[in-house]
Amino acid sequence: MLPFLLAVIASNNKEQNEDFKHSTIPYMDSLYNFALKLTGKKNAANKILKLTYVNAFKFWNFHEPGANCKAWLFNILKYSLKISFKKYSKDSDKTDSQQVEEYYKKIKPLEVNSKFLQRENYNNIQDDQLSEAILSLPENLKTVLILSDIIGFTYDEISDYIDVPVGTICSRLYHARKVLFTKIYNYSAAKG
Amino acid sequence: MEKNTEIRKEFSAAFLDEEIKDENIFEKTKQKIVTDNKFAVDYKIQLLVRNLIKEKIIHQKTPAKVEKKILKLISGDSKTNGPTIPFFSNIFEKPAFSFATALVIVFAIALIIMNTANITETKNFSYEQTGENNMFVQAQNYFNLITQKKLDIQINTSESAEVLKFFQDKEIKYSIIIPEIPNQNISGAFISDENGEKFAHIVYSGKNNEMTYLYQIDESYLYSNQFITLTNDFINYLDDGNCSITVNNNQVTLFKKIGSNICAVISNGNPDTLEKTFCSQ
Repeated sequence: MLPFLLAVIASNNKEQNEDFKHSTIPYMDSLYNFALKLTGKKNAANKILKLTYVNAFKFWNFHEPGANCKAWLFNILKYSLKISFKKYSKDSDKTDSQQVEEYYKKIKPLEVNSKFLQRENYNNIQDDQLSEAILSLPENLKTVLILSDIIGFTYDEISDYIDVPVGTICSRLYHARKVLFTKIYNYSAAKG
Repeated sequence: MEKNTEIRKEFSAAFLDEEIKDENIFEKTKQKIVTDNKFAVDYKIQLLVRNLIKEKIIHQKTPAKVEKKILKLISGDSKTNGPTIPFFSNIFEKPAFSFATALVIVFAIALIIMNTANITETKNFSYEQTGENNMFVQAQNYFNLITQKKLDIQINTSESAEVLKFFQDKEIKYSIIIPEIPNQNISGAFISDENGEKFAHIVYSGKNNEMTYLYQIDESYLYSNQFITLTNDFINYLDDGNCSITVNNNQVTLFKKIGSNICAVISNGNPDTLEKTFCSQ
């Protein structure tokens, strides 16, 4: 192995550019899917993704080497939403579990027929129907559900993203799945 | 009481997601799922919905156009924020002749590949390097000027950090590599100017009057084919990771691509040492 003192950087742009690409491109699809499921619109997802990457590149100097790049990029996306796509970044932190519970009571079926807990009853449900149901969830539930079940975030990562305690994440995810179940249950029941 | 029951039901989600870290709560939740029918239904709902999402939701690939646009935006951003380097890809960004240029380059690359098929590693490229813009010729000239003491070393130091700072201050637009050469130390550095572009040169010296000179440029300068050149087959040879060594009159000239830099090294020192230092990279 050569004793190369590699280093450095008269003008660092090319290196920085390559480092940025190498570190962030692997997460592009996850960011895109998050934006797509959050907005339900390809155009909006495209714009959010572009803005996220432009902002991330601008602030790349602030990203500490070794830090969780995925979480950092999602925070940049959140920041980009707050600044430029306000309608997709309603502050849902204020919504308490009581409100969620009330919402759930409004839409839940009177009685869950146990046969509808079987996986086979939902074979006909397709991506677009499920995506539409997710899209119709209240903002605070939707974000947690997408991050957990589509993007694959842990509760801790979601907690960092939304900036609420892990217990709240657990509660929101529980309710999000129940509300979503109600929607697909009603859909399946209607289909007979 | 109702509140407590509600909280415990929420644990069915955390249980499913393996997010309960407290063993006691984990066991109690597990027990509850087995013994409490309402709780069991809740758990089944959580499981069903999570599985449906995982199975049915199709993960979309970022549209190629969007990805391309983002990469272009990033490159564009770097241009506005600081000094640029002539990336090879920039050639394609000039709409006036991008298609024609692309065709020419593809054709040229095809020719290079065909022409280099029979080249062996022992080929001596030095005879083909001619002209004042040729990097090989330039390196020879600079080395001669240094040995004849006709060239001013702009900074005299043995500290690599100082050399790097010097290059930074002089606005070199590419990353600089400063290798350590056994039994020699850095003695100084200077920059050259070609058409307004600055290039880095480092000089090493040893105790027994050995002297090694390193001239390095970002490879992208060679593609622009204007003020610094090497023959195409030589560039191709280096691009394949090969090392070119020519020994002549007790003077060794070595070319090697390290990272994205093309390095020209000329020395009156031991060729083996130089080869071990640079070519095993």
